[in-house]
Amino acid sequence: LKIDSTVEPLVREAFAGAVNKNGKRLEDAIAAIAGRGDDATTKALALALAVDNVALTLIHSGQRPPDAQLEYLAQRLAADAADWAPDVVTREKARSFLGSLVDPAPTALPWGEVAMLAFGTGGWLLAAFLPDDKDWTDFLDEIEDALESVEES
Amino acid sequence: MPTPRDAKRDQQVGRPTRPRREKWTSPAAVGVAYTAAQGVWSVTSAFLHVPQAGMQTGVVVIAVAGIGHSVQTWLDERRKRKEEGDD
Repeated sequence: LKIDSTVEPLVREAFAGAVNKNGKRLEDAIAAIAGRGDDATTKALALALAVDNVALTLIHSGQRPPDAQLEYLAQRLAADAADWAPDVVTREKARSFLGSLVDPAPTALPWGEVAMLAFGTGGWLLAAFLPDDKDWTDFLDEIEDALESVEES
Repeated sequence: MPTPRDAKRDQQVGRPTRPRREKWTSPAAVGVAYTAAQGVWSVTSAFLHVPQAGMQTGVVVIAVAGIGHSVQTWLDERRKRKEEGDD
């Protein structure tokens, strides 16, 4: 995966909004992405979804999280999102989103909800499972490098 | 199973972009990440409704028509709903 260097900072900023529990920052970042047009929005969402998928897998040591774990994660994610997107990242939607990450299936969600869930979930996954000596941006860097290494190898 | 915790958020404003490196240098997890990264195309394809044939080794070559406008419209409508809810 060749990551577009003009899109990557926008994706990082959107994740930062969720990491910092700042709903306005998250919304503004998504609006900035959407304002760049269809190509940039498609690339940004594709990157965010890829990061979400790899982060969820890495957190669980390469294994698909069991359904009970997905239920638990959805509950915790929704509780976290109560501060920054309570109307979108509900327990039910979080569970559905996490399920679609591990068992890919077409969704019927509006693009805006996909964006909020992708960036919101990603920010949470990047920040909520770290050891003390790591920053969420370290985790994101590692994932992006891994994504690019697939093409390079 | 891993359990989340409340992240250290106060210091985490985030770097504006990632540092460029020669290659990934976390050997303990590289195998897991590489395997996971190989499978992401089915996820992005499903969410974005883009056939995997429309991707080339993960590069999305087909922009989803109207997606930028759709996201912007959804954000605007959500903002209006929130403002109406606040009134």
